[in-house]
Amino acid sequence: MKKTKIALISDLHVGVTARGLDLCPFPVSEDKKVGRASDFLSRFEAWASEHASKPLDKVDYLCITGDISNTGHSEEFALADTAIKRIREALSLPEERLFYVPGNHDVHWPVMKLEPSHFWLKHRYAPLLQETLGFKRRMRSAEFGRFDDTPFAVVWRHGDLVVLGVNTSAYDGPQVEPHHGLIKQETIDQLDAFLKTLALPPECLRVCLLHHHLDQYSERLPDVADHSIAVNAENLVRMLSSHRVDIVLHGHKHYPRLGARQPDNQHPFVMLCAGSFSAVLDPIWHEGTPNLFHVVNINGRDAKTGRIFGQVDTWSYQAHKWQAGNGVAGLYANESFGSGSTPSEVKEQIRESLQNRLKDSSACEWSKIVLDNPTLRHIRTDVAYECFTEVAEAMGFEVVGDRNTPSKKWVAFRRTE
Amino acid sequence: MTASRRPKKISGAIRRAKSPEVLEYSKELPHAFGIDNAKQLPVEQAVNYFVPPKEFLTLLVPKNHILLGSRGSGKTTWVRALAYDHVSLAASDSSSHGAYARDAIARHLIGIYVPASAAFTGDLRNKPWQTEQEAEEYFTWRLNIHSCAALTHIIDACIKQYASRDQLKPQLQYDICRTLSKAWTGGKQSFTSYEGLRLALSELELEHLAAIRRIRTSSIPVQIESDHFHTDLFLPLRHAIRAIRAHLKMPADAVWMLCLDEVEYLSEAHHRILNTQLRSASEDLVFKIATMPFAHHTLATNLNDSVREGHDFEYVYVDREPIDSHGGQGQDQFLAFARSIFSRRISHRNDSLKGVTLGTLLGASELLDEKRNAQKFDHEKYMELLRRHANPATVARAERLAGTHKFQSEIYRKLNGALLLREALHNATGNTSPRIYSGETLIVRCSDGNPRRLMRLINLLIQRLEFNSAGRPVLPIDQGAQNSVVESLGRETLTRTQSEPPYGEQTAKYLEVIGKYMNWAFLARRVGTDQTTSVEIYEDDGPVAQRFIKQAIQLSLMIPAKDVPIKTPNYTCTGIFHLSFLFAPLFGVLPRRNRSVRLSRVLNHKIDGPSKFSDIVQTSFLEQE
Repeated sequence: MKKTKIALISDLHVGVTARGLDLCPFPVSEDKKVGRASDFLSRFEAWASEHASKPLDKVDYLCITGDISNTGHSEEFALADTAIKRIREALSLPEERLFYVPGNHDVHWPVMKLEPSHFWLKHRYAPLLQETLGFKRRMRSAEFGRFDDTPFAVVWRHGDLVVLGVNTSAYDGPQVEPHHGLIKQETIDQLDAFLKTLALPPECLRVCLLHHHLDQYSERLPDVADHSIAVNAENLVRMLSSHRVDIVLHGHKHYPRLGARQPDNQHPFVMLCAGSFSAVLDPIWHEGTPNLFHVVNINGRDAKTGRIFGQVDTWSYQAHKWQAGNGVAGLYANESFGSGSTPSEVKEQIRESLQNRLKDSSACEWSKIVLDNPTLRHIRTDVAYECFTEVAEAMGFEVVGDRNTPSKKWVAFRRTE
Repeated sequence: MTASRRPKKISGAIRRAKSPEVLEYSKELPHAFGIDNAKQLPVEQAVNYFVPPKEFLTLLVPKNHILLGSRGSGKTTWVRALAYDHVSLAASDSSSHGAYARDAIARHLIGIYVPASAAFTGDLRNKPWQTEQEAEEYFTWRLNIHSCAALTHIIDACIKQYASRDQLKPQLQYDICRTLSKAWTGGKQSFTSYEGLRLALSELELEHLAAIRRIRTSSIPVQIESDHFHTDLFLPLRHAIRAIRAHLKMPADAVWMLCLDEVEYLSEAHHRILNTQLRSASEDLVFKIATMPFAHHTLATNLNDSVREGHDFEYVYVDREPIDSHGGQGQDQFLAFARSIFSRRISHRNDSLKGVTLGTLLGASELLDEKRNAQKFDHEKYMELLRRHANPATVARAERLAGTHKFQSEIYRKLNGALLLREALHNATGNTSPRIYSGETLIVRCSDGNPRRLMRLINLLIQRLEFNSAGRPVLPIDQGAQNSVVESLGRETLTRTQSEPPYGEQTAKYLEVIGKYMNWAFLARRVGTDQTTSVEIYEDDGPVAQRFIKQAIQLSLMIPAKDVPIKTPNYTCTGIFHLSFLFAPLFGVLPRRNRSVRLSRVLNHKIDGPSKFSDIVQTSFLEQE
């Protein structure tokens, strides 16, 4: 399977709640300008070009998981179209390598309040799907479906890549309380039927884009309820798994998560919730979560299990510059995925390595443990760290380094007096 | 590259500018210099690209310094270069490039770089709900946190340098980080990595800010917990330094240098607090504070005793002169510096630009390269040029001195540039631009000794490279393209100036008026030996002129003569000021220093007759407030 890099941005909220003044097409009062740069995009472009030989080199695709605009206004989409073009060009990507789904903010609510509603409902995606904008062109290029009408999902194919885009916001509107995502069964059935007609080779990478989450995540304020989860998520998950979808990318939460799903011994897939690329994030609600940019590096597929493995690189926008994510928002700068091992299995591998390595040496780096056991490369940072420290300490060693130490430069050492 | 080979443009290389003001860049050819702002460079690149000027070396002593430099002059580069992680990396370069770093290490000078950030400084602005004391405490608390966060970046370098052979480096890191994290979090958290320490500080700061916001927006009472940083300024930093010294065998005379950047954004009250630190001398902690000209807001302290230059601190001037006292660009001046930094940046490339020098990239300058022009000197053609453009007295003098050695020094050297420029402007009719503003010495001169401006220019010029069918760059870059780039940058800079707070609009207007006047003065009469390149400002020109000149100096758009002091906060700025050479192509003037004229005369001048520019200045700006 070919290595693939997917850049992921989400929840841009182009409009008055965007982080950069250059992402707002409307006048902003002076007091609201404080702390907001007027060159957010230029800073991204300069940073991306500086990384020409580093992780951003040869990014293959750009995915956007919704809430592109703030209020579904036509001017917001026009500006977003330009902004996304600049981001794409900073990553040296042509338009055909862009994939997106709309979010709940990308629906034009004022038009939905007009009467007769059954007439005006048809126009709620008109600002997003203006003729001159890339969003319309991309939707039209799909092999199947559309976002603004049934099945409210699309399928694109590009070489060895298949991308499913599901519009989980299609049934949300001003009258719906509480607001939530929804994947109607008919959408799932139509997607399922179409996918069955495709004879996809096993090495084909299968990606699903959504806006809403499929899992009930715990919030930053964990006892506060979130009713916005996508209804009927379970059936979608089963369908995706049955079609060997490898990775699900979504947004909406403005707070990243990386996990895996494997319903009932079915094909496992990775699930990544992206942070918000450019929305202003209130410190009370988001408790210091910065704006984020991700690159998903899919490095291969396990021949036995079919599971993909790789790592998610995350950068955060702090102090008006892009820098490696430091795990403040829960995702470390380089977060591995693709291991199905349990903590017991991991600890056993670590124990054996440490015993061999520390016979004649007073220190052993984590990188040496991985050299001895290559599958440990795909372990989540938190699990790796907990297992490493637990085993080392049980053996009488101390461990220097923390979970967010870059490149997992942990060292187990025997204290000298 | 022979003339017969037609160069092929790389696909999509050049997009036509939508308007003369804005250039669009080729996305297929990365910037030669990448990021031109030192704040954003990773450590390795900052070290690789740094070319230490002579004046920088004066910082390598255990004394307080205040660095004064206009925007883009290199202040941040200098203070970053003092940071011990940078020094440690630079010292590993055994060539002469690392000499300054090896010297700093030998002197046990340990720099800590505290970057300013717009969020940090913007957040410190006086809030209506804060008393003066609360504002001061808030500033102290935040600077305490930021200075400790900055310290974490150099601990590893200190361990590498000062750990003895029998000390295990991982164990040292473990012990130092545990000690600091317990102190900083009140024992609540324990980290064994520098990233962990920074995370702890970041979370502490965010919690505090969130609590402040809740106090302001919620009716429920919220308590802000006092922490390790609610104490005297830099006390937590001093404690952390002592903790590090307790674990490492550092010499007693090791001196820590706290390098604070961009303090021009802080208020006068904050400067008073910092001055108090300068005044209360400490043997093992000194300060290097970077700010703009006229932006060391006060000399007062909180001790009823001002700081004194020469006693408590020294000023260091970062701005470079683009030309020497003879009006040329000697090898020890900015040209040599420009060649050095270009060569360092290019040396890390593996593409078709590898091995290219600044000279081969840009070629010689018809306008400024005397030696080159002297080799091609044709007396008859030169006399023709003189008769076309020079005044009768000058022509007569030239005829008298023809054939003597005085012809070179009194006629040719003084007038060649002006004559060539007049000829070029005369020949550039309609929409065709001249090609005369091109060449290495000219481009470097138009950077006004400002490294960031130089890098921007070169980045823009690199975008105009053309490639032949073999994929090799066609060198030098086309003269017309060079002319266009430097003119456009001048225009863009002038346009951007309008939005510079607090007096940008006024400053931009003045600059435009000055530039137009100089163009008029250049074209209105036949060429003689004097051209107007500078303005004089006196006290009676009023406060508007003062606001203009101070902002223009800070933005490196007007260059003060050497004897003009730029440090004293409330100083009335008088003397001679030169228009930035960057504007020479925009206004069609010679990039050299010559005669000056009073600003009031310039502003009140009405340009009669045809002008290259559509706007004619009518009003007297001195009357405007």
